[in-house]
Amino acid sequence: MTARPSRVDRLLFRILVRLYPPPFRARYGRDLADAFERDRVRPRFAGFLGAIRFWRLTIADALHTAWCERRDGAGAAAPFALTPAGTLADLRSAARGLVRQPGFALAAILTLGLGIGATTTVFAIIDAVLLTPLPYPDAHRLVRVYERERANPAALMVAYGNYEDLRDQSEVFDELAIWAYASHALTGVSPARQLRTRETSENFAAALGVRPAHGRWFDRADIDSGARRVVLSHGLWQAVFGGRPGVVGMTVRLGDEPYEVVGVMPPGFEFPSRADAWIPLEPVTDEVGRRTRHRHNMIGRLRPGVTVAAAVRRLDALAARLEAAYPDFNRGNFFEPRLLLDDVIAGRDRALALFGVGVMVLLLIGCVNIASMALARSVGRVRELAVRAAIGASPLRLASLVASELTIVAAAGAGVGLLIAHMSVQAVLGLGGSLVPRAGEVPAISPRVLVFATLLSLGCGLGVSLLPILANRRLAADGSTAALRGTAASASPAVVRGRRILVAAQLTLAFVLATGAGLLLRSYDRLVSVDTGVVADRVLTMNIQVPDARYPRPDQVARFIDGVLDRIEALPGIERAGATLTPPVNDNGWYNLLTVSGRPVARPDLPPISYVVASAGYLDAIGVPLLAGRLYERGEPRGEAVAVLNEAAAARHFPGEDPIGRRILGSDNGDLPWARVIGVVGNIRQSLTRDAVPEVFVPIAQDRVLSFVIVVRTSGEDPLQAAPSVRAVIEQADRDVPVGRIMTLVERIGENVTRPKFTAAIMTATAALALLLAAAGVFGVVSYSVAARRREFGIRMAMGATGSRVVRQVMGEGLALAGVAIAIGIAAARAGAGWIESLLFDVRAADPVVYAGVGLVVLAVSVAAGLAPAFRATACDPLIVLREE
Amino acid sequence: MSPDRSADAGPLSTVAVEVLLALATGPKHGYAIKREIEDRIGDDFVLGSGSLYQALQRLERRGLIAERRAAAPGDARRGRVYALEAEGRRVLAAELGRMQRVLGHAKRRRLAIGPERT
Repeated sequence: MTARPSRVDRLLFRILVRLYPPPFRARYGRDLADAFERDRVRPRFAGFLGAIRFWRLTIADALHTAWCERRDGAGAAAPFALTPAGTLADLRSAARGLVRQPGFALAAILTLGLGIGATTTVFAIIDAVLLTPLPYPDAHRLVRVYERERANPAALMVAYGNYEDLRDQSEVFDELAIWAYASHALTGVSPARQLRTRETSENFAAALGVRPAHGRWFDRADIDSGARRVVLSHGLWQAVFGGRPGVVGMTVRLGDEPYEVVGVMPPGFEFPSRADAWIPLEPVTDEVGRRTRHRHNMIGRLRPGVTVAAAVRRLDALAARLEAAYPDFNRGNFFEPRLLLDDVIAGRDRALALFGVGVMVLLLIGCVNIASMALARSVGRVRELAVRAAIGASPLRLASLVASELTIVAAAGAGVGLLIAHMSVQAVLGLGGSLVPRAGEVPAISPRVLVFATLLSLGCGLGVSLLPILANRRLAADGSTAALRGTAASASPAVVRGRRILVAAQLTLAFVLATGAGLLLRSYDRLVSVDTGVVADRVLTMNIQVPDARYPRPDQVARFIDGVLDRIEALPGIERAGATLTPPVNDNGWYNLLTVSGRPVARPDLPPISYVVASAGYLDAIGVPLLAGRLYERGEPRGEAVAVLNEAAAARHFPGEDPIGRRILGSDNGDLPWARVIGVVGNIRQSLTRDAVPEVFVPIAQDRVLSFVIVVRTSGEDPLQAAPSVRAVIEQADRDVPVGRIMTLVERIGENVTRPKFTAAIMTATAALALLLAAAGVFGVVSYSVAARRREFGIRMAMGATGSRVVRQVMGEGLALAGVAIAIGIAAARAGAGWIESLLFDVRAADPVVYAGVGLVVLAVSVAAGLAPAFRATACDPLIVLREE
Repeated sequence: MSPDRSADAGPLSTVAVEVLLALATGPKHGYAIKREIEDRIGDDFVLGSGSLYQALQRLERRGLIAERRAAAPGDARRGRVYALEAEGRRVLAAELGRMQRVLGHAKRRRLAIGPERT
């Protein structure tokens, strides 16, 4: 065995072991360590989720056993003199003390409440999203199965023929189901609605292990007979059919064709991605199309006992067989099963974990502030404590006195925190709900979250009590005579030094957080300034859905769309209009193998090409430049099919040749017609983070497409002003064509960056709060030191020191703290930044601009926080100060 | 070591029975016991090491198992090996007998599903 636990793992383990009573540790410590070393590296605990699973188990086990051991062994040791009655009295006196000085209590409770609230909010989301299994029976057996190519890192959609071969030959799945994303116009209701339909195989619901709440799912016979059946989602049933039970057996019109409703799914089932309805998937039968058209998705339920690794081996063997059987189509293709939960959270665990770390650091900074305040406060009480010690209070009793104040603060903070968490979980999901996977499954506050918040506040209370207790012990021991006289209280260099260290730590943490936020912001900035290849300003977009039955042939769809576009272009203020299945910067398009007449069918070095069905006018409307040849017009093709390539396709598939005039996309057996290349245009990106891939554009009349995005270039400043008249044109043309998602092209492209924007916004807010708390810390410690040195400043001023000199001296204190914090912070941020590198685009984790910028901000914050106390120092009137002595 | 209050009496915990069962086939060291129990229960079950060594400690105090220093075959590193004592074998047999009676009882009552009648 070569794998070993990481240093962090070992550290955590060593801390956990401390929980056990010493005799148990002495006897079994080595055995526990040995078991830990072997367990941690077991395959079932691999990866981020595995680590979470491992530590959850291990911590729960250690807490339970250690508690039992200590309880059973407790009788032997002599208890300290801590009686319930005494503790209660302490609590009462602490409460009175807090009420007398409400400023400290309020500041501490609010700080702690904010920190606990933020941390609990993030934990509630992490708990529901990452730690709770998906709501399907035996969800750990569900896998998405992707088709991939060795030459191409992006996943392909699945070709139907490959699905059938996998389903029939793989022997690792109980069920392997397939679906295609579709959308249909629901007509016969007013207004017509665009439905997110999913065409699925008959075993789709069975694979997921979900049964309809009413009626049934469609079966093999429905598919074989081509019968039109539909299963509705609970949401659609409620919204359109008022939740009437009689809907099963009714006929609804999808795409203007009658479909019999056979079932309604239970509430919450919307797989995949917010589906409204499910209809049978028509098997693809034509011999070339089943192998070249990659338009499907697969989900499988593994047989019991079959691991993902075993499925990988089996599917690799099968892929090799398919490669040999279909060398033209399957060369270099393989299949990759991936746990559905991993797929659903897809990389977002990193961002969630980042939020978790962010709020934890925030809480830590808040606790440091409270500890620092409590430290200053307990110095004020040193006389009282010295008196108590002198008349015989035990050290533990004294500690309890100090701790009870902070216990009250912690309990109140926990209450405030839970209240904040309760309100903010739903608010955060409302803000970024579409970005958090499984947002609908997050409960308000689960028992587990409640336990988490309680433990957290307990920990905070204990943590912040520690420092004042230690300080008191030293004060009481060092100078109890001085303490009794009350002269030790005013200026304690030890306390000032302690608080300075705390504040430097705060600034360091704030610096690290702010660096993370800065890197994310800069990455976001890079992302939005990517050249997409289109001119997006002044372009209006909207989705429409053409009903199938009324336009059964592609040329009829094309005639309808062309007519609508002509009429839109005739409107005032409109320059050009077009329609497409796949708008710019959209990664969900179709991919086809690009066949070229006179060449072997496929070459392994040439991956499938992005295949965009678009009307004439589309490329003009979004400002894509024509580089060679011409674009197709409305009414084309007349006779021979046509196609336009992008620059990347021309370079990749026709290097050193002129692509214009070549015939592509067809097959020699006559199944698919050849299309003549008539032009080459500039590249459009499919994704902001990847360079444009080879792409081909074909007219609407050449393929069957019914969902379109209409794009309209306007001459006015605000393209949305044209929306009502454009919409009216479409509705006049056919009132059963639903129109939706009316927005500008800038907004539509912006949807690609909502996630990085959300991440950057949350981290920036966290960092800003952290800086604010750290500034409060700086203010507190500088004020304290000024107050403690009033006499010194008074004498200096009396000796002729100028005000500006005193200000400089005090400010220097704040700046020195910031300097130390920045130096340590740079090292810490460099160590941590690698961790968020995967969230960054086009920015290095060591970006000097970000580090310099954040350093300046931290300096500025410390200067600002030190300003007021510095000027207060100059206001010391020497006469008054000296008279006070 | 002071005598444990819970050591001398009381029913065996589930983990304790599993440990005795694991040792019934021969002496083993701690981690091997843990893995055997996990494999037997299956279903991704993980036995916490804390619970395991706590159970071992209690069984040892009750004199049901004893520690042998002899190295297990093929493993020189982990010296500490546990073996079942005669008393342990007797208690295990008694416990299994008790379980058998409970099961028999449940079977006669058709798995005792449903409300209990008196």
